Amino acid sequence: MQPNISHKPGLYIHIPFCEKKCGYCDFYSVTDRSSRSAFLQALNTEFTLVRKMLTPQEPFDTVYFGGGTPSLLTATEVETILKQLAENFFLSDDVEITLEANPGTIGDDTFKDFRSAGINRLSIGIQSFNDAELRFLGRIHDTAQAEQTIRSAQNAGFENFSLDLIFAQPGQTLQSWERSLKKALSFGPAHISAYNLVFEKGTPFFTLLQNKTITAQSEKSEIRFWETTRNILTEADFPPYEVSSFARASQFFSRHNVKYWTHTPYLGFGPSAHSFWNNHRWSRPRSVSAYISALNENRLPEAQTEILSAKTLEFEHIFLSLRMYRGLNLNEFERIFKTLFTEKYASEYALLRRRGWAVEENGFFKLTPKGMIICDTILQEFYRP
Amino acid sequence: MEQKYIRNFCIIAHIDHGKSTLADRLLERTHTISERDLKAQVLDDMDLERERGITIKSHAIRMNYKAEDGQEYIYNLVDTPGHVDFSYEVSRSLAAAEGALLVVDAAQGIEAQTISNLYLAIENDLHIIPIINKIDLPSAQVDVVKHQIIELLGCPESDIILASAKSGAGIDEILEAIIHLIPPPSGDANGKLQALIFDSVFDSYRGAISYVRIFNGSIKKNDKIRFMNTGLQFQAEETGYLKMSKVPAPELKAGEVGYLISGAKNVQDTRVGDTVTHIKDGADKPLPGYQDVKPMVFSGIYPVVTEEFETLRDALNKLTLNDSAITYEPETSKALGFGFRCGFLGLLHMEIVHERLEREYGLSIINTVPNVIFRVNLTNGETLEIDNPSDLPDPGRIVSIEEPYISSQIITPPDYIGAIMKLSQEKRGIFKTTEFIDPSRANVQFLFPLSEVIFDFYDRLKSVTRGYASFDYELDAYMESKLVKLDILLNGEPLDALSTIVHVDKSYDMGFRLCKQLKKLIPRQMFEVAIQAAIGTKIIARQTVKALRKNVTAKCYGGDISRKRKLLEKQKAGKKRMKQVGSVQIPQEAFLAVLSMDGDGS
Repeated sequence: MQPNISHKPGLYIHIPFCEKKCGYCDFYSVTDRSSRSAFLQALNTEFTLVRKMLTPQEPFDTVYFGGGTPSLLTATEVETILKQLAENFFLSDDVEITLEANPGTIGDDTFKDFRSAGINRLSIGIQSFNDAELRFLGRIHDTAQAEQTIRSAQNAGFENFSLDLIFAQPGQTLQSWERSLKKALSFGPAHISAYNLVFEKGTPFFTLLQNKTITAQSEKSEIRFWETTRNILTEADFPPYEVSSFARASQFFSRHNVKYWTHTPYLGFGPSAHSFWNNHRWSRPRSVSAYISALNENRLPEAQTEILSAKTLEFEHIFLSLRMYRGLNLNEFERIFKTLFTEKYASEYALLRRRGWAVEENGFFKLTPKGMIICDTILQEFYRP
Repeated sequence: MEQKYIRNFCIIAHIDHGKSTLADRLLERTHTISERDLKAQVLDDMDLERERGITIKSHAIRMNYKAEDGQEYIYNLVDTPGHVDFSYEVSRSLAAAEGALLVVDAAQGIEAQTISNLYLAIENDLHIIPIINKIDLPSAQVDVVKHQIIELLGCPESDIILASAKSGAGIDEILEAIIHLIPPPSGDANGKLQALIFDSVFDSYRGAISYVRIFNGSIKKNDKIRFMNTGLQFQAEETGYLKMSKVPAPELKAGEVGYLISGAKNVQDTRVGDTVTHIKDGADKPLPGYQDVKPMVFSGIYPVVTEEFETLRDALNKLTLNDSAITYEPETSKALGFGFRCGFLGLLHMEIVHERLEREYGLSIINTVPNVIFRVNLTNGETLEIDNPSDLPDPGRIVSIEEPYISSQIITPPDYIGAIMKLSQEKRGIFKTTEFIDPSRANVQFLFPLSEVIFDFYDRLKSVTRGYASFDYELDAYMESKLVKLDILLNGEPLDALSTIVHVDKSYDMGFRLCKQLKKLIPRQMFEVAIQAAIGTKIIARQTVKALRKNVTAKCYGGDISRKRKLLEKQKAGKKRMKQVGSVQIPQEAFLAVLSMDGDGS
């Protein structure tokens, strides 16, 4: 089977609504849903304006509904969005359409409707199968609802689904984490995303950590969590293919997420959404109202725009490729940047291999598990200011 | 203006006791400056000074004061630096004046620094006007402070002026007291020229500008002049008064304070304390008190980025234009590459130079451990002077090592003598005598190795005496000591820039503490870093900085790649400010670890 990696561009739709904000999450969303219909209208305007501006000719082979909580949309709304997308952009025949779904927001039958609307992959935000942990994280669901949600998805015919889990929470025990992982495996998912909890600036958890209301796990125990995750999932035939991503087989890689790590173009729509196109990066404002009011005036709101220099592109290419276990394709690198990776980065190349942090295999330069756990330290070495 | 209408004075105060605010008030009340133009604390115009709250270089300013008797007077306020590193400069500023305003904070009372500068003023025969400032503070203890002043000066209570520079209370009284209590200058305006240089600043357009006090004779534009101690000859290009800016005047006469631009290119040529006279028909003798200022403390200065060596050379070159006390010559270090061995007056001076190089010249620099000049007597009968521990010859060639001692006096309330004795033992002090000046103050005299004093002695003394002791020293003589070179090794490689010469009895403790401190300062990196202290080939202490075992951001999706990239770039930039020695990244401050170690021994 071929790995689920393509170089066709992808589409991302940010649904900026949540029933409740979780303390650790730094993705943009609001709990006030009164602007929902205005938002949906603005989204359609954004499709049109972006199409007119960029006139992309190539087919897109992923659509990703992220958030926020996209499963707060009705199936009809999802269907409308997909129809509007298709009116503006070519969607390839095998397009992978993912919807992020959170337990507690979906009734038993809704999954069937989402499926009929065109969704063919789900990413379910389970986070934990421990009720105390779910409460601590600020989730609106409990374990029973989590299990029920997965079963409903399966009953609706979804086989290609991913489960999101979070480890190294304050106070979390390794046993509890192992139970959650094994529980997740018992449902036979295609994909698992296991994230080490990060205290992002600006989140309530960050503040709690600063004023010492909560304590982060020690480095030593974070390493244990990390290794346990790898071991359990690898033994269950779920090897990691990226820092936090595990798949039952390479055909179940998240085709959309892989685009981020392979420098493949994508267009993002909705507040806070990011785009990468023709060596430009831009993002929309983190504000539903600013987003809507600009589009009501037929204007594309931009928060940041950046034209990537050749140097920046090269650095991005390296650090993104190396976050994937398959690593950096040496021939491809030479083709794109007209220089030999092993020569330009000779000292890093030698050092990392000598230390056992990286290896070269079949034309790929890749980090070993030992290297991956310190990858931020390693990757910054490739930055040449 | 006749000399009897001139008054020259300075202000003696402890940091934060309100010297600058008082000066501002005087400038305002004499209309030298308008309230609108008044930046807070006009006299301190260097950024650094404002932050540290110390006037590093002295300044002077001229005011016109219309007195209550209707007569107009000229007041020259000569400002003084306030740190033991600069005591020579202080003494020259004081020598330029006939009187001093002694400013004491009503809440804090008299403090160490005030006493030592007050004594300098009294030595220079200055008339003192005691002022208690900040009397409107809720915590003011006016009676207690009055009592302290009376004991110190033996003055009648009625002489003490109560003031608040903040509200303006007492300012008029001070302005009048200056006329009545400070004598006018008494030089001979028709005599042979004797002008004291009490400060010297560098101006990029005009070269060195000397601040002078004319004691005898007069100086005019185009006069051919000679600096009596250096023997250098120049022509007076411009003379004038120091107001808020320089105001040219055709002539400066005996008793006056002003500036002189002489064509001297840098401040090395116009040394503080030197006497200016005419080439033809000049004075027979210079004014007393001149000293050739010699650096006492040496340290290597290296650029973090080796390519910046030439930039560093230029920067040092420019710095010496307005700081005559720095010396520098090129040296190389195995660990740090090309740099300079620099000489400083003391540790504060070293810190100031470091900050100026970084701030004014945008350099990232490393200061190595400061040391004194050692004399090494060799088996072949030669004597070497060593200002860098790495230059110490092989122990087999050394007969003995001598180090400079200072003779110091510590003036303290008797209650703290015990604590001072204990501190002096720790610092290898040799006790000389104790004299009681009066029941409340003792003068305790010691000999100390200079190397012990340059580190944290002054801070420690202040802390054990709660700031009450004042400390002053002068170089005494070289004496033999049992000294050894303490080396630091990182992952087995000696780091020459961290070598120090220490007394053998303190070497183990020092090695242990240095390793511990370095462990704190060197961040965890990809590899384990072994820090060892060694004397010769013998390892005496070891600490380990464990390798970084986990550093990975879980999330890199949602398409926000820029943020992740910038984070990595920022982390790398942070590393760039560190010095890479072998495979180890060392932050700048680690090279001065010896200065930031905990004060007391293990």
